[in-house]
Amino acid sequence: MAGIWRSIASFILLVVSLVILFDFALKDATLQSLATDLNNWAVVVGAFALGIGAYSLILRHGRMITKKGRMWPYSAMLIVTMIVFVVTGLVTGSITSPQYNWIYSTFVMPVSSTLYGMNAFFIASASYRAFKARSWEAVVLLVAAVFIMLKNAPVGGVISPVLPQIGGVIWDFAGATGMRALLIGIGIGTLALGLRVIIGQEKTPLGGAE
Amino acid sequence: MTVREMLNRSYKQVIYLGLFLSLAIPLISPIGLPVPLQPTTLGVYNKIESLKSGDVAVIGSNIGAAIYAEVYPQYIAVLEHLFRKPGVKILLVGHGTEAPIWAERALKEINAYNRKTYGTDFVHLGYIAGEEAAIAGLCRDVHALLKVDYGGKPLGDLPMMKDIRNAKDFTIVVDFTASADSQYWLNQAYASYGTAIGFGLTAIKVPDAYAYYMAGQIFGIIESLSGAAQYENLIRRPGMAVTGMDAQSLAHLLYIALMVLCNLIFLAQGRAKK
Amino acid sequence: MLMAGKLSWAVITLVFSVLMLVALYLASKKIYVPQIREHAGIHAISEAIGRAAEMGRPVSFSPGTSSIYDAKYAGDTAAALRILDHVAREAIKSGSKLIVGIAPPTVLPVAQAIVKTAYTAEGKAEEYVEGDTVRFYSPDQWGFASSYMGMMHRERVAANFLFGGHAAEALILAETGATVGAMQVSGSTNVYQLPMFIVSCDYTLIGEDQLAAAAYLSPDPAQKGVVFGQDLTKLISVALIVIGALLATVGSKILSAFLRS
Repeated sequence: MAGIWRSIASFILLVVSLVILFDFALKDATLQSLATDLNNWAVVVGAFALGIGAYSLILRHGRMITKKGRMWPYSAMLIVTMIVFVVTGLVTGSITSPQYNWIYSTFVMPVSSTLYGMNAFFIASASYRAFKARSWEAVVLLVAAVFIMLKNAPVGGVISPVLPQIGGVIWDFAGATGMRALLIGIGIGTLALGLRVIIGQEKTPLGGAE
Repeated sequence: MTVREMLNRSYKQVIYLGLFLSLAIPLISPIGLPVPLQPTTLGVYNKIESLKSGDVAVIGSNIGAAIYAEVYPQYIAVLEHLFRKPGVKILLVGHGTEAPIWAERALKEINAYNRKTYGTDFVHLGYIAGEEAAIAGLCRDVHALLKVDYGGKPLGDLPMMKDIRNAKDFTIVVDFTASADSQYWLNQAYASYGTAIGFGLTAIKVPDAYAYYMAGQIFGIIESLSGAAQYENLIRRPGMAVTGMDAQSLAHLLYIALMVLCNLIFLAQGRAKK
Repeated sequence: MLMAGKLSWAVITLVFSVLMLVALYLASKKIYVPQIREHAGIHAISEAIGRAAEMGRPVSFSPGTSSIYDAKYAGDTAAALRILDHVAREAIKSGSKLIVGIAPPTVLPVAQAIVKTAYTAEGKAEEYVEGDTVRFYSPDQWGFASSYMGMMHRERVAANFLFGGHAAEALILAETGATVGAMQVSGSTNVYQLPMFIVSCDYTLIGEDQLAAAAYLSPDPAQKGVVFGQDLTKLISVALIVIGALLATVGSKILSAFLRS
């Protein structure tokens, strides 16, 4: 039974993919109208996907609370917080209402910014631990990193106008070049995955393991 | 415990303290270092400066609480610049769940609702779910994708939306994000309709976008907090970004000092073993 | 019929697609199965799991925070899930506890199926614990990062694998792994997180190395065919770059005109 559904899903995937693909390149009013509708359906499906996350969280943490698993009070806190946010948004009718803004600014903003800001501290400790000139390649990496940092920070230009210029040359001719090569590789990889999904070779988007 | 032993065992704590001080002290007592202008920031400024009455500027955003410190100052600066341009129509759209919150904050901060007429000069479409599919839908036909704006008003009732149907009607798109979302505008608006695209990005995303800038596919990039500071100086409205640049400079110097220190210790340990 | 500016796109996409499909077909029919060189990262995975078994501490695995429908990193996620199968089997054989942390809800059922199948195949189905072996943390990037960090500290993992599409949380996860003393192997095509992994992890599979490792580990010969097809398209890209540079140097605009058409 699962095999039949997978075949149907693969067929739908193939037809939809070809419509969108051809619409990108061909000028045809019928094709464009069909592609627009399919695209809008994808937007609706994307909105439903947001609900899957909430459902999964409630399921997992609900189980932890009922089974009094390890750290169940934190699960309770998570569910309560989720309910408070949802109820506030629904009751006030908008996520930009003063009440929602207050809980967002008080809870979400400090926590998210703190976690993101931790990157700065971890980079500092990682730089100290890992930027050792063990080889000539490491020396090149080290020197390039120093010049790029002096290019990005205003203090580099203050120390000497030459420093950010050297950083700019490294950035333009080495950094951007390497980035382009990786981007080409990623693009080709994405095309390959798309082809495999279209012809039904790739099982993971259909929820199956190999 | 000697200082050396303490450094060996607790080096992370020492580093974190040093970084905290290098960030906190300049914020409390600013040094006032000059902020040199980058061509990438100037690209965005010049493009917006060249907009004429009737042109449509689409401001996309995926700003969230995590990245607001880097990207929100850019967003505010660009919005302020656009609001100073007479006759330019501004369309705000979010492709992240928190984007509408930051859009409304920015509009209030620049006093948008008192300066211009909502619906005639600017419209906020809110968050559209669906990632690239949503951007593609917006570029194909705005009115087919959305019936109402963020506040629930029908798009047909908003005067400026009568002339805006798809990406052919967009003059420029400036997208503010920290993730792969910026690629969506390139794939959909630029590749299919030739719309001029600019970005406001976090520092970590800039290398990715730089290849497109060098190829001339985007007209500019506002790079992180320093880009925001440069833009604030260009529009003569110094704000959050300019005050943060001294802290950024000292922190960068600390990173360089740490890298030099670790190599000195590494060399000394190598000599000691010999 | 064809829209303006889409000719070169159509030609290149067609040529690349045909090459990859032919390579895939030849490999799936075992007419030509290309040999993928054994990557040093594969040894690092086994070494890390062996170390965890000796220390009696768990192995943790994250297939990234990108969905399997993600426009840019779906390939990464797919590769990470194939590597998860290998890691799961190795961990089960060595007797180590496996913990898989999941962010996107769409990846959860796939990861559960992969790990459960691995346990069953190794004859240790009873050791798979529903909701504990494969743990869904949060679809939010930072919710996931803080949960995964907490898990690494509490469980004192000895081997940590970070594959798939990671974003800004990459450095935080990798540094936490370094703090708890875990041996770390990572892989990503995310160009701006690769430096974070390289600095903090013991071994990093850069870019397509991750995809090649996944193909090497997969029993499906078609995977190897796809990697070979991708290599062919990259060779064509290099040829176009070289020819384009030479033509531009002598003042010819044939290639750039074609690419703009």
